Amino acid sequence: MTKTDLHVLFKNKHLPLIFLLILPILIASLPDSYEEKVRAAAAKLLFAPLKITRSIEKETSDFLRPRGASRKIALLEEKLLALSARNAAMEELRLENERLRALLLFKKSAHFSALPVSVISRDASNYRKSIIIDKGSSSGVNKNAYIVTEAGLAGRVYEAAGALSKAILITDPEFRVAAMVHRSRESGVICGNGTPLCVLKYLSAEADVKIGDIVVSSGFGGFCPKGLVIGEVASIEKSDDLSGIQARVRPAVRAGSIEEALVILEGR
Amino acid sequence: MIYPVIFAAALVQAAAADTLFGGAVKPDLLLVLVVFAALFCGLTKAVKLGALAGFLKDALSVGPFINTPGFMLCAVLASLVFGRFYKERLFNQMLAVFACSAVMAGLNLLIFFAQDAPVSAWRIFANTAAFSVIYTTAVVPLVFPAAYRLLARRGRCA
Repeated sequence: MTKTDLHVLFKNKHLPLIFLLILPILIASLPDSYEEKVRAAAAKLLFAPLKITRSIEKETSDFLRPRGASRKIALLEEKLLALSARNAAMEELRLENERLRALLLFKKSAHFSALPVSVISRDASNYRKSIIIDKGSSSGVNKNAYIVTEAGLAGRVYEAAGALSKAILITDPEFRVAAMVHRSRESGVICGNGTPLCVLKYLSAEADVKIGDIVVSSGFGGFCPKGLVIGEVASIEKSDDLSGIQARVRPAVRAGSIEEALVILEGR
Repeated sequence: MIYPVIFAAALVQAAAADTLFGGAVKPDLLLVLVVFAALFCGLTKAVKLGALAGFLKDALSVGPFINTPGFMLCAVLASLVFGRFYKERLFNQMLAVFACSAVMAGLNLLIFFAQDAPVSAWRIFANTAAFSVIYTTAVVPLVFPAAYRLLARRGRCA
């Protein structure tokens, strides 16, 4: 390549475009650890704007949710607007207080040490079920740490950066945890599949499972504490490979509406 | 002007879209804006915006970097196929968004299918992908006129 060729190439206005087309291939070819670093750096940049957007969303959520014509009429009257806004703020505080109190009770009774976290953002994509939480490796949050609420198991930390972490929820297609049926002790693996229900897989054809059975974590593998409530059996069907059965499980935690949670740091 | 709009859309998509659209599946505002740029701002600008929007979406999600190349592909597709004729018509705009949304759904389903323990592609299609494509297409009559007034008509695509 001559000097003139290089000159033409760098003067070419499509050069940034060519770079952009190559960029995804470069990112995809990076080792996983570097890819995580790129992603964490980008998420860090968005941390402050996300927190601001989230707080605005929390403050205005009462007005954004349509609640019928009567509410709209009430909102038109200035006095009622002020009162309902104040009432909504108090109600929000009461609900937050209730949630935190329940979490505190759960934390006291739990057999592990845990760190309270707040959700600042949900997944931007429809195909993944994840959240961004406001604590990261600087607070002791590790990759693969499990996340719980007072209702039960909620998810697992996927990436831990300095001041924030990303966690996949129990309904995410990549989520897996060893589990068992509380009544009959039948063991399997809970798998998220991107839908509101999880699947308890790898049960034998003779497994003793009934609709309404409670499913808890079995502790196998050693990463997740034993006995955390996962959900209840909603239906039973033949497994995808027809060699046994699998149960559809309705999670105890409403994955889409988590606002506060606990990250399990270590067993006590 | 269009770059801050993309940033704002990414923040809304991640932090407030669940509340705004009130459901588990939400329309993909970033994809709609990329298709808008492909139709009204030119191919080069649309590919750049696609790269930015896809990267932001990947940064606010988990899993492989699928949105960055996916959005760039959508920008090329929308600009070359749908940007050539009747791009002012709502039906053509919705068709472009529908096609690009379907491409992104296909890419995501492929990723899930390539997992070690693949999940049911049919379940993800029936519960998420189909609704995502429909909802994303449905917001075109709201987003395109607003974006046109804000950006294209005033020459603020740059």
